[in-house]
Amino acid sequence: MAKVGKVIEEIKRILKEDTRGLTIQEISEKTKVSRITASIALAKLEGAEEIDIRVIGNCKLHYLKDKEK
Amino acid sequence: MKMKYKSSNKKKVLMISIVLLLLTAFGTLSYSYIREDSINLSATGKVIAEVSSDFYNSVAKIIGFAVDETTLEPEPELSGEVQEETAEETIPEPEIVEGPEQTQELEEPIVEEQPAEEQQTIEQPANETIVPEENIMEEQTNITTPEIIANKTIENILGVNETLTNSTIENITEETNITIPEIIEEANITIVNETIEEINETIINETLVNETAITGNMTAFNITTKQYKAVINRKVKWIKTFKVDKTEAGNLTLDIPKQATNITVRTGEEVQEALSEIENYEQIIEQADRKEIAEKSIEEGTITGMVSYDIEESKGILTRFIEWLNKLTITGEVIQENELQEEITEKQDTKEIDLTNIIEQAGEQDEIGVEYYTPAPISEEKIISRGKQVIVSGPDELNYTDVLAYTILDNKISINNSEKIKLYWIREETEEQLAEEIMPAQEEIEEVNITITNETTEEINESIEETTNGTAEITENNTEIEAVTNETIINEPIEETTNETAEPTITALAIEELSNENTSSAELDNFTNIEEVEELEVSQTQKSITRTTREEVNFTAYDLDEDGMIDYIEWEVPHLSNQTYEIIYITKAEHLDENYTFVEDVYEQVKALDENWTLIPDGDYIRVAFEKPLDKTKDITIYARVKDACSASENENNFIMINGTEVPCDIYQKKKRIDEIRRLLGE
Repeated sequence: MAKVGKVIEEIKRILKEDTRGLTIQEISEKTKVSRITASIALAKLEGAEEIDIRVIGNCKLHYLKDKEK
Repeated sequence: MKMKYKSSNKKKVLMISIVLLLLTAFGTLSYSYIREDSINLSATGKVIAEVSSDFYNSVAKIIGFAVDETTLEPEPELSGEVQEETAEETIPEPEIVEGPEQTQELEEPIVEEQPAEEQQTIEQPANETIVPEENIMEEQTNITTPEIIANKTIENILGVNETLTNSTIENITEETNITIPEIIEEANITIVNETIEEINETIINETLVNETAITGNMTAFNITTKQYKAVINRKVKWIKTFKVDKTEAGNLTLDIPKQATNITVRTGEEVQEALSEIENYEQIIEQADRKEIAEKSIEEGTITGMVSYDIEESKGILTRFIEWLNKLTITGEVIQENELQEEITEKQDTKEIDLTNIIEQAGEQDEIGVEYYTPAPISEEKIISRGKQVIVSGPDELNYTDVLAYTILDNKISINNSEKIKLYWIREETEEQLAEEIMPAQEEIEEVNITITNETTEEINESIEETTNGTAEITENNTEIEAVTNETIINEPIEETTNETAEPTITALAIEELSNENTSSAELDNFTNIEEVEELEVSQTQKSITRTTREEVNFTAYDLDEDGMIDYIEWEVPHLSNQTYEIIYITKAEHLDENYTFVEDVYEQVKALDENWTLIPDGDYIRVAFEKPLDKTKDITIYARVKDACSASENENNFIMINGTEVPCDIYQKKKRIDEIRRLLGE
């Protein structure tokens, strides 16, 4: 859990810097964790309503909520 | 039954008596047999006496034991004798031998199959009776084993002996074989080395004797001139040596170059010491700290490198060695220049040293050496668009050879990428030389001595000057020019020359230069990786064509300030007087400023479409070189993008105008991103 917690904080930092929207693949590469770990962290963020997700085809773009800006 | 028993007892007694008689007879025979053997085997007299005196008693005892305890403990001596007899008797009879019981009886006495205890009991009496240890085995063989076994044993022994003999012979043979090739190899290597050295020395001698001007009767002396290792920006040391021949009388003078300074005359052993210093000097230069060599250049002000201030000022081994050479311990056999002032006469082109007195004082066959220094070869540097040009020069008449040249570079190329630096030797050849190259194609190509090549090169240069001044064509020294041409043809393909001469094809770039300029020289920038570029240079006034060839030269790169970048390279200049080199930085993609001046190598950033970009500011250029000629089949798509218009430095309001509408930058970037994803997904 501690690892996921760190990943969540890292993802929030990355999404705050890059507002264009990132895919799971890009987030896992930037945080240097597996796609599974990145997916779990993103799901937690989604559940906490801290991120927005835009689906384009079979791809998801993740954005940090406006309130965080 | 009693009668039968009595009769059987009688028979038994009879048999025993017969056996006793037989054994008595046998004992006599065996005694004589043992006695003979004892004598033959050089047994001691004591043993023989004991045997002879106690034999009958002992035989009697033996017989008694043999009768009573035959089945319990067979007496070794008895069994041996019996077995020997039995073997001799049974072997000729095949029926007995084939029987299983008889076979056992026969096999029992065999030493190899008997138990160890039995062997000991057999051997001990033999040892007691036959003393010499060396003969024990032979005696045992004769006594305890049948003849067949003895023969087998002998065969085995012989076999062993044979084997031993063979192995001994093999060892000797192997040693012999090993020794002989080693000697031969060593001899070969030594001979080859000596031969090469002798050849080199011969070449040097021939070269330099020709240059030495000798007056008086000194022509009879075989004068050898040797040059110490030359390094640019350092004075060059020379030594002329010869052996005294007092049969030659008269005024003996030696000519040395006019530029010679620090003249010293050595005699006797000092000459050999000086000659040995030549090799040491070369080694010391090879091992010298390059910072120290470069330091000299900076002192002379010929180098304008970025690392000049990084180089330490402390004296290194090279400086100390040169100082040591200068201050070499002076013995009575060294005469310095201040003592020679009266003997030295300056002429128009040379200095003349009168050696008459020195030769008179020297012993017969003594060696005399005249040392002197000549001005240092120098290098001039010029920055060109893609590197620098270095002209290494020295006085023509001195004809320096094997000069160590170097230059300081400005930390552009990593020490691991030394292949990105190319060093070219630039040579110019005139139309006449080009034309001459064709001629020897039908002639035999001969090996040209280095000495001859150097001399003829100078002469050809002189001839070129004459042509430039509008005088007659080259007609002199045809043979020597041919010799040079031979060498040129060896180095370069004849086909290229043929094309150029038969049809004066000039490259498009050269034509463009000619149309734009009236001057005779035009420099071509080499933007390709072609190692040798030919440049045709046409003088409109003289109508002569010169060709510039670039020959790649090996060099050694150093990182003197240990920052991971190359800041010093050195190379060998085969001969002077004037040689031009170009140092080119090879980059496949380079960022140039508005003046086409090299800014940085950006190849790593732009070599692939991998989201790594490089920024080329407005007005600057990027120049990309391709290794292969491009045509319509090659993809040369350039991927370029405008720098983000929403960056804070350029757009303080974080808005971007799209079709007259202000769009927030974050919205614009999100839209761009979505478009990018859709494009990747093919939507």
